[in-house]
Amino acid sequence: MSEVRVNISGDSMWPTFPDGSQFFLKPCPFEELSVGDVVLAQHPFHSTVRIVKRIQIIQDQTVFLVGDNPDPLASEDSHNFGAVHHEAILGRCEPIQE
Amino acid sequence: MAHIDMLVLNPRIMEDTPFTLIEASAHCDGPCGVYDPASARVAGEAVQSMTKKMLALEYPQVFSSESMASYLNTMSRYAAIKEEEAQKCKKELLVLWTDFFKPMHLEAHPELHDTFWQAAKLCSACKVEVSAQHAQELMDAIESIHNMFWAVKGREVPWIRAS
Repeated sequence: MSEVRVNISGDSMWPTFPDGSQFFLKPCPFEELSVGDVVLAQHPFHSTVRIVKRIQIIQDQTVFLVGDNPDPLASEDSHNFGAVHHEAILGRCEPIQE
Repeated sequence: MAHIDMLVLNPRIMEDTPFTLIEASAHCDGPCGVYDPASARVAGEAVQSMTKKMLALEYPQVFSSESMASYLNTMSRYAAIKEEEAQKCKKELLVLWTDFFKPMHLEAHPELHDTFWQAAKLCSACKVEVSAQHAQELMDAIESIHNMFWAVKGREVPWIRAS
């Protein structure tokens, strides 16, 4: 399979990752995910929407995802839709070194 | 963990690049697409219009109970509308300031906070005064906010007035 990149659309990960930032998407078993990882996840309420967020809490089989933007209104994340099941995590986003 | 090759990919981008690109949303929860400073502008125009009407209203030439009642009724209605619209304008501005604009917008518009602060104060001033100067300054501030707002949205929207 060819290399897979993720393109961020929106400002919820600002200032760390502004609109238009790109990552490599790497498959990652749930057991290897850590707090602080940036991940691509399936939106729990919208089947066609994938989101990029940072893991804040891992508890049992769920993951609490948050945006980096310090404005509490700038990110739709687990503060709005709650923690997501680990199966919603599609992979870990890793920096592109170019 | 889902498999990456099961994801729905963006075919347009795939044609042009040696890799597969997935679009991911990093948006906010609010209704980003429906904010518009026009609502504040309409309220601001009403404030300015009522201010002008109050200043232009002439004292009745014939003094009588009936003429005074009409004069006071008209002036009171102008004042009531001015106060109501000034409060509405302030509310619309505060929603834009606190909900639409985000910290990253300060990079391109460092004057943003001061502009909104002054605009909100002008709403209050126009509410308690009958000042043509402050009404015009309020409209000027709303025009500045209009320009910042549409610059952030990446669109050229001309400043227009209904009156």
